[in-house]
Amino acid sequence: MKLEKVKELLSAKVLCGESLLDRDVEYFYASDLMSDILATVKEPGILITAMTQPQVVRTTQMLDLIGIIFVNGKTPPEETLRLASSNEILIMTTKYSMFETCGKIYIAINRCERDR
Amino acid sequence: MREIDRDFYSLLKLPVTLIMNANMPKVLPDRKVSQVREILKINQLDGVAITNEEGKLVGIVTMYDLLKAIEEGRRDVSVEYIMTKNVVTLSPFHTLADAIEYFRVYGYGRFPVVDRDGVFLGMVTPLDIVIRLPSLKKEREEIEEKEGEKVKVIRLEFSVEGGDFINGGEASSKIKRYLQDLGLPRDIIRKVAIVSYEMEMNIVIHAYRGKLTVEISPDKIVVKAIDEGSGIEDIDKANQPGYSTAPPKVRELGFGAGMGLPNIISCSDEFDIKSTVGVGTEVTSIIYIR
Repeated sequence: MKLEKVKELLSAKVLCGESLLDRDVEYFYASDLMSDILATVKEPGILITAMTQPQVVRTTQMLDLIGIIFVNGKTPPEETLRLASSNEILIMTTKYSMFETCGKIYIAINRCERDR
Repeated sequence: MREIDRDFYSLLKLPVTLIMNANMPKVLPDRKVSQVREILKINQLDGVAITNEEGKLVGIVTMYDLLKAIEEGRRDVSVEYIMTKNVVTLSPFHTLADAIEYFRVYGYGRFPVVDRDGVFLGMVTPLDIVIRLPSLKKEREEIEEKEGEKVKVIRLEFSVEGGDFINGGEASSKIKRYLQDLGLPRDIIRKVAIVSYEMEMNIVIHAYRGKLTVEISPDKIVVKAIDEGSGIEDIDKANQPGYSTAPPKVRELGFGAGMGLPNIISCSDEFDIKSTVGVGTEVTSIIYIR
């Protein structure tokens, strides 16, 4: 699924890495626990989280993830954005909760696969 | 020679890739002067490399060049028309001593580091040297006698401060970048990145201070964290998934869920942990390059 479509789906605001919106993403990971993310992520994709501190970007960077979606309308602190923009990591923020965000993406991915 | 002098001289032999700022925004030649000025302002930079679609260096532009162009009413001109095209560059094989010599000889404010294909890797400024040197204690290339053959071992060492959540993870980023520059396989880099990051965050979370070292030889990578801290009371428990002694403040940051050591173990081919209560902990992980 194109990230542009994810943005639309979540009525999300892109805070950095706008140029990555035409990337196609197959994998989405949702967690607030950094070590769980490190243990689970195997393929490049998008992280969905409510954590906004710079370590989230570090974790993302370690795993070569493409971007982060912050849920619950959270805006990350400036250090987080700076670290993300210098590492070319996409950041968007949505007003939806973690549950709603995952639900919307899950349905959209399944629809995409069925249409194939 | 005094210990401090020896340290200083070994620092000068560091490759520039460990000192350079590799977190530079990518700027294409067709970006407008006004856009590039915004990029530099946001990233608090006073100069940037201009690279093409393939990441190859085509020029550099400084804040001075941009402000001058804006004054001349050329804010909507592409930066390729105002950039410096004949740029003096450093290669990944240059050392910190070479970089200092370049600054002295040429008198420029920055040097881009490019690989042999001309791909831009990062920028070195005198400020980078001043800022990054303390976090990077020393890196040595050691020659080891091994089965009669001489084997080159690259050793990287980083100091990590306990409680420093702002910079926590920076050493691991540098290690990852270094391994990428060496061209190691992706799955090896991934394992070392996870191991070093978990070890680094363990020092930040649990210890007063510590040292993270990586030894790269042709057949294996050894990652080691030695810290001064309270030590671990029950190592068997600590190795179990889900067991944690992290305070609530740390858990609020998404760490301390008791998966750190289990993650290190699952990424390691060999693993060892020694701890003395009230003294500190030493964790070793070996990852074979097959």
